[in-house]
Amino acid sequence: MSDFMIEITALRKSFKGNLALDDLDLRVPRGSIFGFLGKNGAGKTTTMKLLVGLLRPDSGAIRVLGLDTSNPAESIQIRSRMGFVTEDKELYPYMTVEQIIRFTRPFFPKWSIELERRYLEVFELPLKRKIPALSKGTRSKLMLLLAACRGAELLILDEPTEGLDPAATEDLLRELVTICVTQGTTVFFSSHQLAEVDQIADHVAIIDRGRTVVEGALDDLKVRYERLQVVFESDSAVPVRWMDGAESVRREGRMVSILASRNVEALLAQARSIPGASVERLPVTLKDIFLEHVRRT
Amino acid sequence: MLWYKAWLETRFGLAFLFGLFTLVWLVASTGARLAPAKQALKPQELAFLADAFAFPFIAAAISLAGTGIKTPSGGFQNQVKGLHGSTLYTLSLPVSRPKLVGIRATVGLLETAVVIVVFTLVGWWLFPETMQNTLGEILAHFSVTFICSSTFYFLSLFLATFLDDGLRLPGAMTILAILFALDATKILPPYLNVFRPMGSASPLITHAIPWITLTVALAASAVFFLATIKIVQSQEY
Amino acid sequence: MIFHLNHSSGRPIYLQLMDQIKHAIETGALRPGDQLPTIRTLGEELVINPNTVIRAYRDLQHEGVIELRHGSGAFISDAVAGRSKVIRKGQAVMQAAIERLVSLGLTEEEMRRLVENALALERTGKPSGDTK
Repeated sequence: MSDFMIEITALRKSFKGNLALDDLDLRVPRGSIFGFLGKNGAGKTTTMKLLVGLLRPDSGAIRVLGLDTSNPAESIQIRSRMGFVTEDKELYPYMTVEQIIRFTRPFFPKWSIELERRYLEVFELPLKRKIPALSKGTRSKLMLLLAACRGAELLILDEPTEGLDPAATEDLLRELVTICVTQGTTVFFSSHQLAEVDQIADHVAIIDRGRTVVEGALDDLKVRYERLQVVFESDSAVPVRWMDGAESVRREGRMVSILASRNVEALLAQARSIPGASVERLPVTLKDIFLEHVRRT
Repeated sequence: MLWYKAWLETRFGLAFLFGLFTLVWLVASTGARLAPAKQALKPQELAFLADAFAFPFIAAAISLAGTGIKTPSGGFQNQVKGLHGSTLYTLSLPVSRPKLVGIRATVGLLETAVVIVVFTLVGWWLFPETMQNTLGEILAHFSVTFICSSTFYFLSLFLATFLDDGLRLPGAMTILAILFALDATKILPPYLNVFRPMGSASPLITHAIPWITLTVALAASAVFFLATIKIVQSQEY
Repeated sequence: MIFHLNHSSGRPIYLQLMDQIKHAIETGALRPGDQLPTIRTLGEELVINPNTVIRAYRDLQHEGVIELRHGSGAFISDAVAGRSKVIRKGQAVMQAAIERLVSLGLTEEEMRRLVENALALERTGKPSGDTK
């Protein structure tokens, strides 16, 4: 039994000559709540579709729940043990909420009626209403119900809080935490709202232009990354080059702001070695880390 | 539940066909009652009429076909809005794609069979003089019609894997037209013409079963069906 | 026990939790022997990752602030009684210092900045340590 629910190795995928995924690596630990971040078009949805078997990779290996996605029989097995929420949140336009739940249930012997009732209540889903008449936010909630009630070991959610107001978002996040705690479900979700990821994720990965640029436990990242703010006595005192670990250096006259991903002590020593320099250490937010890794062109 | 879903997807198409044919029959029977004294039909007239009546069944078979897994391009408007997007949901369920196609195809075929039987019976009820055959020939006629129209059904299914909805009907009709042209110009041997046994070459008229054509029809159906499965298995969404 | 977490600050949530529990002990809101919410309850209530709570509780246990009794839950350890004494001494020092700064004519904002700068200096003077 693997420790990782998802293992992606050297994944490549092109569409009509455009390289969407460029040697992507990713490992999602069992039981984690994993935030998958990236700009629009970075490759998040493509990655998720590849995990579910909607797309086939050009090269590279994907293992979900320890099974190989390129094997048709194993792919069906994967889908019987996982839940997926699509980016578009599109469902059958000729069905009502009630009908699509009844349609989905028989595929999953482990379907939980209690969870279904709870979600119907918490999310206030109108049973008799036709799906096209639902707002995008309500469809997001419905898709989560369809994915989460099936007793899945893994949930792959593409922007599950899309279209939701802050209160509904909080409800949905709470349900994700609950299902992780009570059923040990691994939750792999993408989001544009860094605050959401900050709130419930214990692991994150940032993807930019088809590659993983940051991956790790969220708390570790926040502790490892530091911002050093140094004020020098004169312009000439400012070092031209900084040691390894300085991800970005911004300079305004005598003041330098460094975002360091490691080697903080060495950088501190370098700054303090210059007479008259004063150093301040500041915490780094996930937003800082994110912007740092996706802004560079 | 997939059977129920296939039914939900096709029921409006079926209802539309029933409505259309009912209208056509009403017009035809009214026209016949207003027509001058009836004489026995001449062989060519009978043949022509038979072909004309078989034609709608082709249209029915073609329009009831549709994989339920829409073409990835989804460019043209689908009959029902949003059907393309929901394909992603269907494909994320733990069902193999061949099974999805198989269920959808079976439901559509059953509906086609129902259309054929019901309207042939209604036609005979309105025009009893056209029915002068033994029970054996009638059963043979239904079987032959069903088998031959299913060839067009599977052809349409096959076209649906790479043509958008709006092009599927014209596409199938074009192939039918080509078939007619080849037959009329005698390029195509008669036993390869899958359409005729439903109309002028029906057991009702020829009092014989066109075995060779039936075999050709079944073979063609199998080829189209297998090709459809192969394509759907490798498509990306 | 009411927690207020800031999800957008750079300070990891588990540290914020630890801060607030320690603060509660210092002000007397939590006393030795009091029981803390279960990991699951806290995670669901605050809508945070349960691993975050686990980490906070574990680290607090390492520091001797709480005890994790197998099967019963998390409890404030009796050892903190001793720490509280030290803290109350510190409170007296702080009170005196603030009275002196006020008599010098400093505003509250200025005093706050003085404290932060002094702490920062204290931090950078230390070798690698858990100063965050």
